[in-house]
Amino acid sequence: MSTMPPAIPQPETTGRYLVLLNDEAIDSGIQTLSDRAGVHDFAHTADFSDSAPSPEVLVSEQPLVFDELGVAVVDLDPNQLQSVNMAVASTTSLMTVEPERVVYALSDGGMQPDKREALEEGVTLNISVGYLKGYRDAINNLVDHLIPAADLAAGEAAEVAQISDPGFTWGLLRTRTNTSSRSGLGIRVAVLDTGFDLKHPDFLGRMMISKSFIEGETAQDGNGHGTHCIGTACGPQNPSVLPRYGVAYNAEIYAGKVLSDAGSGADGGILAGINWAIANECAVISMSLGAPTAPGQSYSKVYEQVAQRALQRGSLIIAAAGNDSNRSFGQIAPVSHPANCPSIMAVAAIDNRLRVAPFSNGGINSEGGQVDIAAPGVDVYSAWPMPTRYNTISGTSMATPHVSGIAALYAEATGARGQVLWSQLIRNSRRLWLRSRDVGVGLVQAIQ
Amino acid sequence: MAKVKITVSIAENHLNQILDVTQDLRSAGMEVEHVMDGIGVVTGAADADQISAIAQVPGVSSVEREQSFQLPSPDSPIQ
Repeated sequence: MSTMPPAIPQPETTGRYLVLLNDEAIDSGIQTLSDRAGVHDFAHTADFSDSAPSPEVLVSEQPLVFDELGVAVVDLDPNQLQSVNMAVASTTSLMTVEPERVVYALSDGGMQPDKREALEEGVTLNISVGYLKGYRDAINNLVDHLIPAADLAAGEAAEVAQISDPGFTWGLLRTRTNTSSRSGLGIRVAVLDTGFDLKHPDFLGRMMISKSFIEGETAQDGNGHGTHCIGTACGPQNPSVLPRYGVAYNAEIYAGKVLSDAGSGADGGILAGINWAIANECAVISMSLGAPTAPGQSYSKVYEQVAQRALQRGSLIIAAAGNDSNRSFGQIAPVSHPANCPSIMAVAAIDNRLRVAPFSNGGINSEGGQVDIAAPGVDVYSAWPMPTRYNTISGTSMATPHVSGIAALYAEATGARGQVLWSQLIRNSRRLWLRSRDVGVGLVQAIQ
Repeated sequence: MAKVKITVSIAENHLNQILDVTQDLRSAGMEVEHVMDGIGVVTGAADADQISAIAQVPGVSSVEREQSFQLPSPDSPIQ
């Protein structure tokens, strides 16, 4: 025996329609509405003072054009609607048509009028919206306390199965890099790390500039970390051995060695690397490095000023949130230096099943210490110095170059740099059923 | 007294006089190693008790002690 699921409320509509006009040909769109559907006598918001039509016009049946938005609001009977739908399909002057919806201010409790009426009739108590909100909050609070936080966080994630494909690493699949039409062509990506294996066979013939900021060491990677990170950010489209593991396969690689072969470095060398990358007009500066911070610790004012200047000059700095957490034991460490600067994008690590990596740091500290975005950082396969050639490791260091490579894809496609590029990464990320403390806005997604 | 490594950021309104500010930093006791005009930063070293005087130099925005970084060993599964 089955019961009917509760009906999902359908949006109320007004009977009018919104027609999205091609904003490069608004007049021609209006002409099309007139020719095909017989809609005439448009009012234009541009004719009203402050472009704000009077309330009478908004509720009247007169067709109205919002000139600044490129949208027309019109009454359409079923025949006219069909004509407009055909015009949308067959012309370039009309983009879409959809029913106008009834929208209520949330301060009214977000309830439809009939429901509110029914409530007032059926329940003789004088229930205010404020009372209902208080009741709701109390219940939510109670539920939050009764259900362990881990279960809440698991939620959707528990349902997510692993994905795999012999042609691509799981990180490229989860970020939709495998289907992106972009390659980072013409974009310079600086990776400040332990250098690079300049003789790696997967990178022969690639545009590559390298420089060492470590005294007594060349840019040749004697560690492996830098080669792995560059592999993820900029690895080839068609490596001789599958799977593909690199994002921006046509980007120009700027390998700055700011960490020694033993994996150590200091602010002076890292700042020199940033200075070098900006001078070379690198749109993206990838830094899979960090020093732990204490709870309550503020960010570096020097790095923040540097990061702001970098953004102004068209260079986006992306850094690892750090690996100091031990979430299996409930320990979440704050975002590392310098990823904790407000103007540096802090990257957390997630796994193939879209769960926060147990080591990934969280937004514990205020003042910019939040996680901004998440990327694949568990069991990440990428390049490694020869003769090993490939290695699979985990860390926010591995998540960071996923974001950096994807930033290069956006930079190529849209021409965006600095703060605008930052916004595009954030706006297009995939929201997750996880806390923003742990994953920021969610999982970075490649432009298609 | 042992020297400490420091990073100095130059204020926005002194960026085009970074060499003059650097000269004043030397006069205040800083051993300057690098002047990075692209990002407006001067790095070097100073006695710990000179740092407050260095922070007072006109055109200086912030003075911080250099932090160091250390990756885990390359054979560590978490990087």
